[in-house]
Amino acid sequence: MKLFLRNILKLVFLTIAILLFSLFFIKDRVAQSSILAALPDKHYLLNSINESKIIVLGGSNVSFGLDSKVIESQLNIPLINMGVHAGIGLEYIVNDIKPFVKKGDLIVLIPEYEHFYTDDFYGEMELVQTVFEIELQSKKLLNTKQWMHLLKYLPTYSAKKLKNFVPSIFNKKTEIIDIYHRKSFNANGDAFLHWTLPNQNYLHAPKSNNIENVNNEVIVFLKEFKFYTEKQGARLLIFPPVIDETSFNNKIDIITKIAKELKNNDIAFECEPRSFCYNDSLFFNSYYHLNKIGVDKRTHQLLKDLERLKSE
Amino acid sequence: MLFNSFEYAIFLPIVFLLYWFVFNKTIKLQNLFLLIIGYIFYGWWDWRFLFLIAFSTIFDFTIGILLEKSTHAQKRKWLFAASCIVNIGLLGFFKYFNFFIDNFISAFDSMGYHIPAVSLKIILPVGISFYTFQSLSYTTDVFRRKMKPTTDFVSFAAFISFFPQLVAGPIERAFNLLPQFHKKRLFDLNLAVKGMRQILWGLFKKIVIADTLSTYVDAIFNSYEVLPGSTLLLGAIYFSVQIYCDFSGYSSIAIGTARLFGFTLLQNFSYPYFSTNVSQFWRKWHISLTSWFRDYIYIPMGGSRGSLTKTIFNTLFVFALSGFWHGANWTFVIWGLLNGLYLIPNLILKNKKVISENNVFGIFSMLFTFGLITFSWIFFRSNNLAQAFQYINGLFSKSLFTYPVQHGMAITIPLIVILFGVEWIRKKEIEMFQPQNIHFILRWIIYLVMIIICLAFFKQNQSFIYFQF
Repeated sequence: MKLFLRNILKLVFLTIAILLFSLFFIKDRVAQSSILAALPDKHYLLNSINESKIIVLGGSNVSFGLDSKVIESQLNIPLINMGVHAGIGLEYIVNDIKPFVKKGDLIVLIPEYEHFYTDDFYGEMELVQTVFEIELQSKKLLNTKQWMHLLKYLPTYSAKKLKNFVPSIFNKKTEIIDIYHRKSFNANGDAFLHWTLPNQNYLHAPKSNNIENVNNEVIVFLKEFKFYTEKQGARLLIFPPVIDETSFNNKIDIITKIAKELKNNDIAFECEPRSFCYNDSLFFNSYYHLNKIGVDKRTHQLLKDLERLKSE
Repeated sequence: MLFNSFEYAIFLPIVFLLYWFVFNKTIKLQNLFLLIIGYIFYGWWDWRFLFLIAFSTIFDFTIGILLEKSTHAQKRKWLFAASCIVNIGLLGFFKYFNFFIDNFISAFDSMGYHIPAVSLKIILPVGISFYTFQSLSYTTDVFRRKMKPTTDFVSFAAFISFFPQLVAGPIERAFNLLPQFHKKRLFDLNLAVKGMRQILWGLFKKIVIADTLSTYVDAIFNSYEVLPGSTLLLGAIYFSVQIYCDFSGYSSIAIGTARLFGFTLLQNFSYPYFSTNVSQFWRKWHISLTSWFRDYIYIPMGGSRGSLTKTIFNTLFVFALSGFWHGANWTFVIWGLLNGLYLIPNLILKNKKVISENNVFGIFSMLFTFGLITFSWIFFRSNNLAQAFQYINGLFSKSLFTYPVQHGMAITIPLIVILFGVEWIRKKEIEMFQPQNIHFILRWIIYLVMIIICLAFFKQNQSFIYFQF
């Protein structure tokens, strides 16, 4: 037994040593050019604006679903689309922009539905990638609970880095800019390379079951964020994400619960979730990613809502 | 709790240490601990399922004792019938209720009678098909006087809820596994090391091969209407490999885990895709289920002892039943029937000759068998019969002879080649991954590389295909 345990411990120790080495000393070439690496670019855009602005927050439903230039020119206010990927977690998405919120700003928050009832709120592999490769200083933004959730992604992330690193020693590929590349965003932060591409097949959201419930932590967190923005002299508006019709119907139970919970806590969606449920044909490669026709439709709908809310 | 989860990676070492260092004093303590752990493991999915497994356990334990006490043949038959009705009744209710109701309503609809839809929101308890069969095999063997019933309830309950094989087998026979609960387990280094290797190989098959292929299989089966025949062929082949790696991976982890606790489980797979005919395939695929159907259904029905017509009927019946066991969907029944039909030429020709796979004819037979099995998997994977037929229609079209639309072939083809290459080399061995003859440094490097690769390919929440059955 002793020999068995000793050997198992040796194997575990060796594995951990390799993973730690990979985590801290190997460069993740994939992350450096990924969509996540656009985050510092977006911070740069935010920093360059000294007047009141609109900041749109969310996951890829925002980055792949807006033509910000249209809203910016119609409302005559600079707009930065901060959307990157839902996997970095709603908590991080919000905490990350807090230092940029100034008096007179309008914060348009459009979380993905999964942020309300899954661990997406705390962040997934994409958040690990962000804090270890993209924005090293942002580790301090994470709280203990987030770290606890991220713990399970660390071994996989370290191993993935090794997996990407080993072939890159032998194969120095030229950089290919695709729709998930750092450079696939325009000056407002919208992902735009897919606007000219045809729709791809994708999986709809699975049917929600009755055991899914809204995470109360998300509600408390959003209430605190509302309070924070008001204290800064800014205004927070929460919108439902755009989603394809099939997925909307599959998720109808949990969407209803989310909308009800937000309303009961005085942080209601600014419009009915169904109003942002679009025909499946308007989606590019995911139930949250719009094609160009969808982007235009969503942009004009959001513009109308913002004009209405601005005048209220 | 999934075997390929963070929770299980913590659960298993804790249970292992407690088992060997705290609860190792007596057999009773060891069994009691395994029983508690089995219920925690099972209750992790849904605690309500525990009532069902507990009821099934108490009922079959009591029937076993009553069967032994009773000398009256008719009474014994009634007791056995009660066990069958209760076990199959529970399985039928939880698994097939809505299926029968829907089909009943459709049948009446087609005759012009409208019956209002009635369907219950029934959650299918994980692994019910597996433990029900295991429990039923116990009462059957006691009824046939093949074994004495146990009077030790804790051992029996631990046998039914033994966590490594509780949710997806191998379906253990009472005469193989139950006596192991009656002996005190002593730590066996050799068995434990073999177990760990088997767990590692199982994880590799599941995480690296099956889960990688599943992405492409899902993509192909979800958009089969627009894809060329060549890509649909690729999708069917991918699924053949995916289901093999998924299920045999699970079985390897289950057998390996059981070894860590001093138990030996039945082998469930034996290089099935190297079979040179379908009958051989079924002796090497999901062995514990195939032999269960053979021993408890096929042979009692008369097996191959009667006329040819009777033998063909028995074969088709058992295969259709085996398909139905997999799920309440006509796709599974057709899959089963199709496999039964494949066996008919052999039954007519009474061909029992085993073709060696080491010559050109053998390799051709092997590929032909793989083709037949792959074709039947299309029904297994499809959501309904319409989808299966449309898929087959698209597959056998002119576009079959075009270059397939890229579906990850750069990664999937090397993985499939590595899998079958290594299996081909090891096909004479009972156990696939036992590198004890390699120098220890190289062996450790292999372990480390496999662990890192598993971690690199790991995706959260990837369930096993057979968990739904």
